[in-house]
Amino acid sequence: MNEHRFSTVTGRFVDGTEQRYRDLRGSRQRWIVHLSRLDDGEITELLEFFRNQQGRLGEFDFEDPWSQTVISGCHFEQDALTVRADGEFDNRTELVILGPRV
Amino acid sequence: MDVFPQLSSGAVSQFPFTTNTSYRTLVNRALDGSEICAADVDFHTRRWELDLNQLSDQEWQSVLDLHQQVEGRLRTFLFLEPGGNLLSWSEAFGDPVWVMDPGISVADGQPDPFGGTGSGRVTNSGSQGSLSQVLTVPASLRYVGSIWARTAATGAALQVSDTASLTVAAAFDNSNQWKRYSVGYNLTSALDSVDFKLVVPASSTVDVYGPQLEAQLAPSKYEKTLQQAGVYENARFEDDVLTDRATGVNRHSGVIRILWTRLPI
Repeated sequence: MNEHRFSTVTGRFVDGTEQRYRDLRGSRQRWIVHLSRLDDGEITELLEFFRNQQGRLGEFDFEDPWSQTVISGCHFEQDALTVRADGEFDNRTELVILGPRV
Repeated sequence: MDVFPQLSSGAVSQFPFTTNTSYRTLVNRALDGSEICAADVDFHTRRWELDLNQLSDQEWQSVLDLHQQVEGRLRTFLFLEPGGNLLSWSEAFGDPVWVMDPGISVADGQPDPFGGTGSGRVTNSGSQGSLSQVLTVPASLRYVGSIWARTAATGAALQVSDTASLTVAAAFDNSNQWKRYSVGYNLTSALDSVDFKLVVPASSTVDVYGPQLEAQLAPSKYEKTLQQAGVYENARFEDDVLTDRATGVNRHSGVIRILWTRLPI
């Protein structure tokens, strides 16, 4: 899943009219990556990468699966990673990656 | 030592199970949307949710005994990560956690069998010696040790022991080709320590990569570790209540939630 997120603040008045303004400049890309059927080696590599990033702290390059563009300055949105092992060589997890504000 | 029991299969858990790793990042967000992040270096938690099904009376009783012994969430116990590598610093043989006999030296960062630089070259310039790591875990449980190795020497081996008289070993061949060796440990010992040892003959060199000790019967894929490996002291139950879904004679099921934090709560 891929989305572009803007930061618009909406103020609504008593008569129903609205006033909007831009809270933050630009937009930010966000990817929700569902991973399933990962083998032990793949999930270990992913956990090691998450550990090296210390959750949302570290920045890394991420290749946008839609455009195949490598985007620098991405980081995880989460500090916690949950992995479910359904069987041998059958692990699944979900990652949320935030791109830089552009 | 209070320890979470192994099942009769030798595994700590059944499938499916869930693990959760959490860190904490302090984020200071400026008006322009830019962020300054800092790690809360002392914060690190691990959670496991074990969905245990069709346990025998004996298996369930072991879990129940531990839950009663530690009084639910109150006290801590030792938890060995299901399928996890119990050895610390698996690619830093020069770390003090690895004990070297006199005459043994190690050069880290050597080419490994997968094109990386995670192996270590262990050289013995003295009489027969060893490089070992001793873990404070019950020697009464079942383990499997494994390691990638290559050597042209005869007599090199991987040993797993209870640090006393009970030892199992896998000898390395002298083909000087990378090969993964494993040895299962299933011995009865009352000691609370297990020794993972690499035996190096006199005046010889052994290249090693991926040392791994797991609390189960067969080796799984190698997992690199740093200081915190799969041995979690001070783990706790997350629940004061342990519910047994008895589905028949000698059949018990329940969900066990375990929490570990880096610092004692």
